[in-house]
Amino acid sequence: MSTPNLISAAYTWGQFTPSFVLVGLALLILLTDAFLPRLNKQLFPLVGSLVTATLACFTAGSSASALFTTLACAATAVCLLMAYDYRSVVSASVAGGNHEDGVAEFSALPLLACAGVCSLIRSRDLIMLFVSLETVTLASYAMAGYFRRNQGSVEAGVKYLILGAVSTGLMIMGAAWFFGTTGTFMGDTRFLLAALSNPYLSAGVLISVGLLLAGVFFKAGAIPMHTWIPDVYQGAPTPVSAFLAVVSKLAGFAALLIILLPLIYLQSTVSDMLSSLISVLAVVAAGTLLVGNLGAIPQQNTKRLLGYSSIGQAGFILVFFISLKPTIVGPVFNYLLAYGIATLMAFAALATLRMQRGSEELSAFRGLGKTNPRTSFLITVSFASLAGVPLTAGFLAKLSSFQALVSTINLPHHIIYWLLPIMIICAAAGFYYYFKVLRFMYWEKPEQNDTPVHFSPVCIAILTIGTLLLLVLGVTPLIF
Amino acid sequence: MLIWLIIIPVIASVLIGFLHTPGRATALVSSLLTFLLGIGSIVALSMGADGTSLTHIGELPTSLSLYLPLSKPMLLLTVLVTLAAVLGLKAPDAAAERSWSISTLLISAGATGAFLSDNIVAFFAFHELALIPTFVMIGLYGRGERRTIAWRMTIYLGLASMVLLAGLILLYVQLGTMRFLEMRVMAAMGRMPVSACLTAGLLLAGFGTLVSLFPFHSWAAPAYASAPAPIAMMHAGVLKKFGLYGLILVACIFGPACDKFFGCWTNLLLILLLGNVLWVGCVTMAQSRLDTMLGNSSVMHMGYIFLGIAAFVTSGASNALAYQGAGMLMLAHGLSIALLFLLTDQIERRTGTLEFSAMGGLAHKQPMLGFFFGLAGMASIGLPLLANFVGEFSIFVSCFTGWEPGATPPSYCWSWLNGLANALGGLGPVQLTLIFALWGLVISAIYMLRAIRRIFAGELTPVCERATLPLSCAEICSAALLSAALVLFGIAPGILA
Repeated sequence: MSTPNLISAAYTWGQFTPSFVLVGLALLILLTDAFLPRLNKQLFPLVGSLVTATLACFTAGSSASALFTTLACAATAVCLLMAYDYRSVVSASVAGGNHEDGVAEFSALPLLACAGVCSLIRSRDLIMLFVSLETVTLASYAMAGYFRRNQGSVEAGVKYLILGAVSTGLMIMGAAWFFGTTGTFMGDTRFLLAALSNPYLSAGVLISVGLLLAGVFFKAGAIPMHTWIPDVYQGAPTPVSAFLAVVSKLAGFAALLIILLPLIYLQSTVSDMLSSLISVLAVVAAGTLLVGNLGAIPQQNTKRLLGYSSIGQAGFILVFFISLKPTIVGPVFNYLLAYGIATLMAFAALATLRMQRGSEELSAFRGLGKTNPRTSFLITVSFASLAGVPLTAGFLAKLSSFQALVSTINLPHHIIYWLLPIMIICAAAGFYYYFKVLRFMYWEKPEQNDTPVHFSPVCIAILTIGTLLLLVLGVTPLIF
Repeated sequence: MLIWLIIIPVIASVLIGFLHTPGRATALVSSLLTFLLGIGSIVALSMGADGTSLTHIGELPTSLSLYLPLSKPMLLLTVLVTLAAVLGLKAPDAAAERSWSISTLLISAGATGAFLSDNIVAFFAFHELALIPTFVMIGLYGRGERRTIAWRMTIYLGLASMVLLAGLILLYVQLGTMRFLEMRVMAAMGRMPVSACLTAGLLLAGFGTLVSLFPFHSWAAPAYASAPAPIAMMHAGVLKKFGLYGLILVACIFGPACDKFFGCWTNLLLILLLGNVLWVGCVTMAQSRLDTMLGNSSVMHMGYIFLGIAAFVTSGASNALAYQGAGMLMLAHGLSIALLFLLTDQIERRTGTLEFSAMGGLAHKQPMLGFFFGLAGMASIGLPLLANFVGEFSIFVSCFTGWEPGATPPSYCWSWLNGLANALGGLGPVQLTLIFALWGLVISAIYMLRAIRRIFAGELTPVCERATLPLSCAEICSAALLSAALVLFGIAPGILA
């Protein structure tokens, strides 16, 4: 074996331009806030959103890393727009009286987290992966506990911190073990193959991968590392919940791909070694599906419901990994795209409802179909896409997940025979709980004093563009 | 060209929903356009027009096709029933009229898409699109326990759709293509699913539940009884045929091999369809309200179509009479049940009740209504010269097509059945089922004639005394359209071919 490189030297500065831009912008916002106290602070989220959106356009491309970066930046831009809408609540919850304090930090933190995601997507060794993931996570801790006067938010922040620290520990342990068994931090197939074909080391490699996965499952929201999700989503400020649900989950799945792709390429040579990994992934996927989808059924709080739903959706994404093929990157991205658009729409609508009707319960949607019929339609599309109703992007995403499982029918492991029924039940359960929102909107009558909810232009724009995207992505493949 | 059949109703729904154009008028224009377009494209195709010019947008091929088995009669059924439903639509207020019109149009667009799609995903997706307005309308405007009924239907059909989806994906993965017409080529080259039994089972369970195959039928009758008239017409008349259409489509894909493909399920299907015909038939006889009776009768008649499908499948897709009979009965049942639900709504609006016990002698006050109802009732029993007769008769005859006395000694799991079958000259499973199923004819004659007698004949009851409002022009047109189609296909079934 040649002398292994500790860290790949193949990184270039240019690859990390998006991260540098975002970090620079975040620092600029913080410094401006400190040195120009008279500046209108409502500009910060708008500027942040504008720059991230521009960045999304510039990074667009057809390679996997370009796609993931664009999605992460675009989602961050939307979350910042939501934060702009949410500014009154931010100031009230952070500063009490002075109505503009805290806006700058609230805009800078998502930018830092997004910078972490951008560098994570480009990382090819475990050190870069770990540092990027920690950047995302540390920024997220602060964001989740941002409303320091709100007990729920503080609880969310602490819970997230403690559980996140455990998963970080597991992950760094996994990285260390990986280095110990393979002699490298890189997912280079040569070293992996050498270690896996050594009978003394192969078990160690699998354990290290298992520990790494445990850390990544925390971000992706898969069992058994999912317990933080409902509580943190419920307690965190709504734009932050949206950020965690979309950008942070995207980071988790990007990291999962980065860790697993080298193994996937090796599949043909060490297939018997990997069969245990496939079984573990299948069990995790099944458990995640069941916990997420069945746990969502009794929920009355919309943010908790969306939290469980995000666990359930993660289960559908994990199913892609069972087939362990290099071609899963595209379907995983498509799924994240459909899920991300619909989830951002749902949170945007919820943020407005939270401000105007003062409640995050499902009953806050009560009678919306009567008072705001057009906006209700837009919200309907987002929940329909999450449920996987045909003609929306969510349907094709779920379909490809089913297809990924069914295409393993000729493989000897026979996972399909027990996982397929679980998927069917979970998809049907999804219809049940997402439609609960629609039921409140259309079947319940508005209360006497319910006036039409005023949706801000920003919120309407998010909902309209999201609806158009979901429908176009969902219909065009069917007609042609 | 065909794509407009889907786009026009969708545009009309958007106009009604977002620009608040008058609901019924917009829907009427849209359904008239699709009616003309649908008939036009079928006629053009049978006159030898180029099929690709119909299915392409410019140079781009779409996934729509008229070359699928039965897609032409199903398209005909859709445009006919949509037009009739919109003509007869009468909602309590303007907002309801808008949502009823939108739902009718969306169901129509979804059904058209499902019947014309050559793509397995589009086929499934368009059907789901059509189901959603059905749930919503029952939940919002249904009668009785509407929310319970809507939820039960949602759960039943949602689960069934997922099972069906799994089956369709299995089919796709194993045949290697998403297009039905290409699948047929693959199957003709001898490519057979490895796990045929699982695939066929999922497809049969999924499609079967969507068509209310016994014992998964209990969602259907309450839903039809509860739904607003146009929705009941569209669902019972048009959308429910999707499952049958799908089964025939799959059978046609496998051609001679479909016997083997469905092999392990055909006997179970025969038993279950007897459940539809006999069990649900008896349930239908016991109903005391017109709407639940019609809902159950619609479930019951599915049994005959399943019998046709079973005869078609066991013959290895060579039994042309079974195929035509099933197709004709699907069309005829759709027309007659839509007509019956339309008339039920008109009866209820005039008398305010649907209880048999409260009604009587309505024909004295409403002779026209009595005439149409009688015609529809006779059609649904299967009176000659009406379309249902053609379908049922073909199916019954087809069950014995190719059968020779004692040619294949039967072997049933129950020995007493062997004895019975041998005593009757060596009947196979399909023939034996037919002999039981024929009794359904008696059952449907009993309940339908009894209903007609109770409502229209006899002493004039106070409830019917008040029913003096004459049928409006639109109502007559709507009923006449469906009746004319029933008579036309009854007298000249050949024009479909």
